Amino acid sequence: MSKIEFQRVTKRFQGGGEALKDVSVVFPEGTMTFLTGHSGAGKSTFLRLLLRTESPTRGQIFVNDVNIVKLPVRKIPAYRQNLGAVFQDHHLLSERSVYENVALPLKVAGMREQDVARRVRAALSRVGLLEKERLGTRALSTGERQRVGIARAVVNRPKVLLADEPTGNLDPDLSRDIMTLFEQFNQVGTTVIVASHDRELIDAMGFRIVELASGGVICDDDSTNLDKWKDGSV
Amino acid sequence: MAASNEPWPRSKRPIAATFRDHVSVIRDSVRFTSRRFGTSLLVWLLIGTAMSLPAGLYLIERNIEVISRQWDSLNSFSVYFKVGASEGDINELVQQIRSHSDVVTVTTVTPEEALNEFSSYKVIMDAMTLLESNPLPASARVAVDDQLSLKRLSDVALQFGELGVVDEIVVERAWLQRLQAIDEFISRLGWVLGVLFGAGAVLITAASVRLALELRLEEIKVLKLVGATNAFITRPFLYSGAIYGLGGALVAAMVLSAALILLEAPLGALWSSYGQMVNLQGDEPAFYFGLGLVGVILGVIGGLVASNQRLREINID
Ligand SMILES: Nc1ncnc2c1ncn2[C@@H]1O[C@H](COP(=O)(O)OP(=O)(O)OP(=O)(O)O)[C@@H](O)[C@H]1O
Ligand SMILES: [Mg+2]
Repeated sequence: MSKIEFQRVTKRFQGGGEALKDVSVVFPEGTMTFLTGHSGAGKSTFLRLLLRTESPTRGQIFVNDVNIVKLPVRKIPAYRQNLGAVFQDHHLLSERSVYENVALPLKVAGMREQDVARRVRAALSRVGLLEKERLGTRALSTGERQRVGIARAVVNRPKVLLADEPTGNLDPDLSRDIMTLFEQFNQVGTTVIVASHDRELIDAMGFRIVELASGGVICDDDSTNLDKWKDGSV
Repeated sequence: MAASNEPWPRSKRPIAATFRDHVSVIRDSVRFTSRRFGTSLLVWLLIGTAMSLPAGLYLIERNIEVISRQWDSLNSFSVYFKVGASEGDINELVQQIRSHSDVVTVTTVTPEEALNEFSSYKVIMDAMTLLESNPLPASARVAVDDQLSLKRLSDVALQFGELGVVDEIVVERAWLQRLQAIDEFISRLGWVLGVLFGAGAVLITAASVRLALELRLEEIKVLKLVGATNAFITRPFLYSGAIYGLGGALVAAMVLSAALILLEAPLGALWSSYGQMVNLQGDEPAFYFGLGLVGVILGVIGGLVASNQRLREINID
């Protein structure tokens, strides 16, 4: 249950252009939002800033009124333990089993082995991979890997769930199931932000949609940011 | 709200969790080491070699110190009588020495007593039994005034050397001083080499740990993403370092034990020629425990050097 707020955030990569341009957007706590836009629009950058794997060039990012841009390095681990993240490129351990990959956040949090097993199995059954828990992740299809990443993101019941193209490699039925899973998490109070360019799917879900184009918010059903953008004040 | 009290739940890890981490990390580290046994063995040999020289010098230094301490408090010389000298002649001479103004005490050692002194040394006793008669001479240890200079001591000693029944006079303190100078030198050398080779051992472990770290770079990045602390991430590498260091200490211990076994007999013979029996120091558990501890500490330092340096460089994503 966390409120997230971007205040005039700009991210410029060295040798690159501005991936985000003066973005201001608020995600009230317990809401579910889709982040959309064309490839290169800045969706992944947006989520990386929230994860604190990148820092903004300008602007502030507040999570529960704490400015995470100014978060000291030693406090980052505790912050990340309360986030669940699904990555566009999975970030799974190729040498480890499905089970071990999903168990990782729990081990890091210091959970007892029995509880770990229970939670991991619950998460794996949510994504339909319970029978593959002993397999190495190399032996999985891309879609299956994606689902392992999702199980790992939700296994620690995070307060904030960030997902970057979580259904990028899944068929429509499975995509829907995964989105429904996120919705269930949202229903118990988790703030969810999902980046996806699957317009058809996210339109059908009926949640708020924030659309980015070349680093700026061009459409938000909250419309406050949209107005500013049209003014040219952004 | 101040940044100091985070609004998200602090991950309070129970002590038991940290303990569990350590256990599983040790298990992993042992598995990792044994899976790459060839490399590990090489590292152990390198560290072991680096450690055995300073540790060996330390042992030598300690043995010399023990030997010299046996004479340390004594301002004395030994008189060895000719084999077969009559008891009467010997007694007469002893009386003469006793009456000298600088002499404090004279203790005589009969050939039988000398033989008894050897009785705990099996090798020498075995050799002795081959001889029909006792080959040891009678001797007398003469303690002089504590204040006497080495020069005066030598003068007093030599003045008895002229007499017929005397075979040899040995002024222990003369070579004792030489020995102490050598001891001091070896001690210094040991320290210098200890620092140099200790740094070497640290660098060897650091390089090996660094290698292990590179192999697990992917894992480190993922761990960082799911919120692992640096302590959690470095732990396996510190244990790897400790295992390398401990293995190295083990190699050094084996090298030194072998050296002690090889040296014990000839050294025993050498000391016995001075009428002294010395047990070589260094075969006691405390020394090996200390060696292991030093190995572990050097290894952990190596692990810290490698992982701190590398972790700072890793920017995730
Ligand atoms: N590390 C980087 N260095 C330089 N430029 C970068 C870096 N990361 C991203 N960019 C640039 O920032 C822009 C936004 O990238 P980002 O990955 O956020 O897009 P995206 O919306 O996630 O795209 P996609 O839908 O393809 O995943 C792109 O133009 C990209 O080239
Ligand atoms: Mg992306």
